[in-house]
Amino acid sequence: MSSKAKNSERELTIYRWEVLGRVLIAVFGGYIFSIGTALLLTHILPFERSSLVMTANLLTFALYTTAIIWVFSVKRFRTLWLGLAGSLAVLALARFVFSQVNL
Amino acid sequence: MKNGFRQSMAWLHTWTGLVVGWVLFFVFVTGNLGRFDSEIDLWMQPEAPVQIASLEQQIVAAQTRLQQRGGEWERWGIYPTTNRDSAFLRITWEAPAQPNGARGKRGEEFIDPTTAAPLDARATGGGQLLYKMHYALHYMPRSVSDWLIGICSMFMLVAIISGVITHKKIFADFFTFRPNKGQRSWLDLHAVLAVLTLPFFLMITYSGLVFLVYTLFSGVVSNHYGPGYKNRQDFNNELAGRQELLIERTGSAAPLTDLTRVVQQAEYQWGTNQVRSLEILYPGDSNARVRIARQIESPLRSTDELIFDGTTGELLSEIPAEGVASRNFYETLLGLHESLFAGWWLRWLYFLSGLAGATIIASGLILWVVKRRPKQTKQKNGPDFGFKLVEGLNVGTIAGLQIAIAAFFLANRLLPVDFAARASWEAHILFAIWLLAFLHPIIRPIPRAWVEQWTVAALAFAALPIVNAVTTGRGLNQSIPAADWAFAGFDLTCLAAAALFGTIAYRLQQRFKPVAAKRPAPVTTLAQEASA
Amino acid sequence: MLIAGLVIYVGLVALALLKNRHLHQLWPGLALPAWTRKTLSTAGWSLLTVAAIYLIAQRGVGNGLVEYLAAFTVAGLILVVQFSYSPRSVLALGIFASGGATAAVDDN
Repeated sequence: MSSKAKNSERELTIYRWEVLGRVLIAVFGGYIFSIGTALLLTHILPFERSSLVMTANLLTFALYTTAIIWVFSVKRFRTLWLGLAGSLAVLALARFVFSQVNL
Repeated sequence: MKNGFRQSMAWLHTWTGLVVGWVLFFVFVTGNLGRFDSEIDLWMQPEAPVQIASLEQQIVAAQTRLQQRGGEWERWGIYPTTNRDSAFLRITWEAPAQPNGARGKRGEEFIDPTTAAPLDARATGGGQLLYKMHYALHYMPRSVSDWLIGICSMFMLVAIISGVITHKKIFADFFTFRPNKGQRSWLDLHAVLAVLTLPFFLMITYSGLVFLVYTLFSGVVSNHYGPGYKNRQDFNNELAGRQELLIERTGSAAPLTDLTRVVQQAEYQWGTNQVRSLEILYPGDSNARVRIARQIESPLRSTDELIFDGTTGELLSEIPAEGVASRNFYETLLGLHESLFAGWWLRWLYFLSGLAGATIIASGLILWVVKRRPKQTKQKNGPDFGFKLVEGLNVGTIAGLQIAIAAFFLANRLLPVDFAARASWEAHILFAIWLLAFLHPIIRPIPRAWVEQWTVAALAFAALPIVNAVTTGRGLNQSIPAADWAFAGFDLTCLAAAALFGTIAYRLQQRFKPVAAKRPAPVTTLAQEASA
Repeated sequence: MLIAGLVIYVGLVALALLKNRHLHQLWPGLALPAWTRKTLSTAGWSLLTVAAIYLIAQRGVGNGLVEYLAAFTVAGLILVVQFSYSPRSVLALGIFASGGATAAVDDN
């Protein structure tokens, strides 16, 4: 019985750390993802600069919300890390490619 | 995260909602009162004479007063009483941007158009202060409040989306409310109101965030235009096509043109009563510009504009209300949020939706407690601290804020009229009373605290029309026959609030009493019914 | 906005009657034949659409849509209160609203 209680306590601790981890990833990872995507859009879409910036402004919160919802809906923590690292890598790569093209 | 997608979303909805619920409740209640900011302004300065001056006279008075005040300003603003949004002629001024790029200090003043002097009436924050609290809070700089409100709103947006996902039977339960069923009823109330006002709720949250985009996502603009307020203005002017405003000071002084002539040109072009506001960029500089905006008549907040040379009075350009798509979208979002276009009917419906919004937040907070109460009260060492904290904060926020707002209005009537610091004390009293309302549940059992606070709120709002009648002689017996709708509307709304709060107090008391008298009921039922 | 509100109300009543929960509040145990359900559904959605078109035509896209949503919210709220506390009054107000809306449209 005591080992059972210990186990469930251990599970609770793990659960709490996981919640904290997801909150941090959602808040900071989500923020970087949304502003990164928004900025990328302003560099690759073929409209006037001011119009692009406003479009990006309007989209940021939708992107952020989507990212947060995603972080809390993914089942496995590993998928989460892969998704985060993957999307940031894609963003960085796209930014690099387009900066070369624009030159 | 939890087992399924929907469970995860339910978890997310519960906790994002709880963490910021109290702040959001404050934001919703004060913002909702802001729908009638100008009417509250009128009520809070009862001695101010009704302003019936012509537009020309108002412009002369405003220009005279602004020039008398002296100093070097980035811009001036003039808001004549040509629409509901200005109860009194108002002028504003803004200092040049600060060295760190932040927006310059701003100030404003109501003006008496007959004397060109500040309005001779009691000092008060007025309806404007209540309205501003919903985004600027109080006792803190905007740089702090913008982030606080922004983060809370972001939580709310996540709570809304996850709530919609959680609530699977939106259309099946469209009209379902089952009263007197404890937790079930709270859930029904929460869901039914949320479904019916979902478009409003989403709009007000998303647009609220968009107001703060320059703070929360300042990187988007600064990446292209550079940091700081000035660059942001340049972005806005470029987006709107106001090339004539993309200029710097020359540094050489030149007298400002006669603004009445500029306004006459605008009226000639648009017709009478079409001028909404004037903005004067770099007043006193030879590069001064005057921008005149037309009345807002649709959710699109941007209007036709005329831009004049500020020294010669020559018309430089005309900006149409509609521009590029992204700007139209932005201005429509903000216009929907501010509801400046709304006539009386729509304004009251906005108010009603806001009340529904506040109720959704309040019922969500209460639901959190009701759901956990059976388990919590059975615990050996009594309920957890966190549970008791939420219970107490709920009382202090949901009922206590109402008392605090009534106290704010009562202070406006009861503080001596010539007391110099009365404007800031009105606000101090609001927050002091609110603090007391938070402390009260610590020393009283929660069900008692609810009943007592709703009773006090009802009494305070019932007292307002009486105190108003005694102190101003413009009570309901005067204002209704005189068709003085700002006063009559305010007093009647207070009575309606008193009736609502009184009913809540009475019904809570009824549910609480018979159970207690009949038998020594287990604490759980007692407490559950008290908040049901 | 008032006329549109009445039309929306009638439309919502028609749609609500498709749900047995609400239908049985008015006529306990009644089962609607398929064609009646079809008619109610068509009528309900058409009325909601007509009200939107009417408001947009009258007030422009921006104002029209905002007023539509406002009227929709209020009509829905009234209906919720009625179904919860006095289901029979739905019939009375429904008939009154149909009459009022018809008269108002005739006037125009």
